[in-house]
Amino acid sequence: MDPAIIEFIGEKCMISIIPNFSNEPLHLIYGSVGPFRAGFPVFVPLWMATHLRKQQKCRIVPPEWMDMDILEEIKEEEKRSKFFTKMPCEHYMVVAQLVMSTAPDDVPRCEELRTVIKDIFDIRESKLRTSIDAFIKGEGTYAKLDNLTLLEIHSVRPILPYSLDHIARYQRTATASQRDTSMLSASMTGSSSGPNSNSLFSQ
Amino acid sequence: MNGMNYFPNYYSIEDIFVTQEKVECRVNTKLQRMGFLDSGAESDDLEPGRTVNLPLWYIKELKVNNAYFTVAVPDIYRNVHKAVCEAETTHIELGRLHPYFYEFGRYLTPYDRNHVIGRIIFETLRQRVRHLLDISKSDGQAAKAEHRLDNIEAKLHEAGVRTNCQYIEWLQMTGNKIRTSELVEEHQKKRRRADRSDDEGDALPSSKRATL
Repeated sequence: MDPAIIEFIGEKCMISIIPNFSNEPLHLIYGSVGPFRAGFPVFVPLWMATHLRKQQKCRIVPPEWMDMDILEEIKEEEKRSKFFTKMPCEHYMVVAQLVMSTAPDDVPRCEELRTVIKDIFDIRESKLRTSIDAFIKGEGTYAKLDNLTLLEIHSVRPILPYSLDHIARYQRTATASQRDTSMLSASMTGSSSGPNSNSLFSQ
Repeated sequence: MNGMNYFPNYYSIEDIFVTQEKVECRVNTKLQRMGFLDSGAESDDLEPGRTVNLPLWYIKELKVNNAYFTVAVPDIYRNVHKAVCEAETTHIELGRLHPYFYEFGRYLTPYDRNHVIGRIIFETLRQRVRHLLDISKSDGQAAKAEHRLDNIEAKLHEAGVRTNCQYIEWLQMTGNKIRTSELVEEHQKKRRRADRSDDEGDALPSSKRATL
């Protein structure tokens, strides 16, 4: 899963723009995008917004959550909580990256916002890593994580599922051989040998 | 990409390498006319009590408790190394011990009466995966030889590094440049060469126009 694909998925988010042209509603495959009137805000998908901005036909209005105080508050919440908090938008990283690369002037305090969003992303990523550590160490069989966005999942994929595959394989061979010989010795001697190391695989 | 999701099949090259490894076996019964297996044998038959080095693919087809050979577990899975593995899991250089530490251990697990091997490889991998996740956050250019990872770990590490590089490229928006394809470049070079020799040469113009 490339970041390019994740960006493609994230571009479907709606964002508000102020066009400087007027047009009829556009009827696209997935729905219509409302009539464009110069000077009035209209909701369009993000890909269309960046496209129009590059042709300088509109001005992008940053989403409500892209504000310094709100983001600071989210950051504090993230630091405090043990679990992952709900992000304002499912693809906050993609939206932030695209908006700030195509339209840095439209966003007030662009550099600081960029830093705060990156901080939030780093905090979440390190939380993800610690929870993976705990999961592997604690020998659980499954884990459930809420409120993770795609880009964060991308950072551990595919290395995490593959390494869990390998661990599971060796676990299976270890238990299988243990079981076989303990069954063998149990049938031969008539008493279960029950080696102590069995407790390692009790799950 | 297939290397990491690793389920050995008949054609898998790593599997062939692993099963080619020699294991030491002690012969238990007299095997007629099998003396060729032992290079130092005097007679045509294999006498009981001798040790031969046989490749793993030969041994693994026999039953575990077969009457002909007893497999001796290699030293790397035994006492000293076992203790080192458990004490210093992340710093031990598995690549130097054996390039296919995990897979070889997996094949040898049924032959081990004390059930040591299965547990060792399982526990070692579990500890080292966490370390592996950390070091794959790097760029991949620095100091790869230091780590001396086993084959499986090396593949996982490579996957992690590649993911990380893709992410960084995306952040800096340098990844997605459209490049001219090879066919087009070759064709352009040929045309340039043809034009140059056209200018300096006495060749008939008609012969140069054969392809356009």
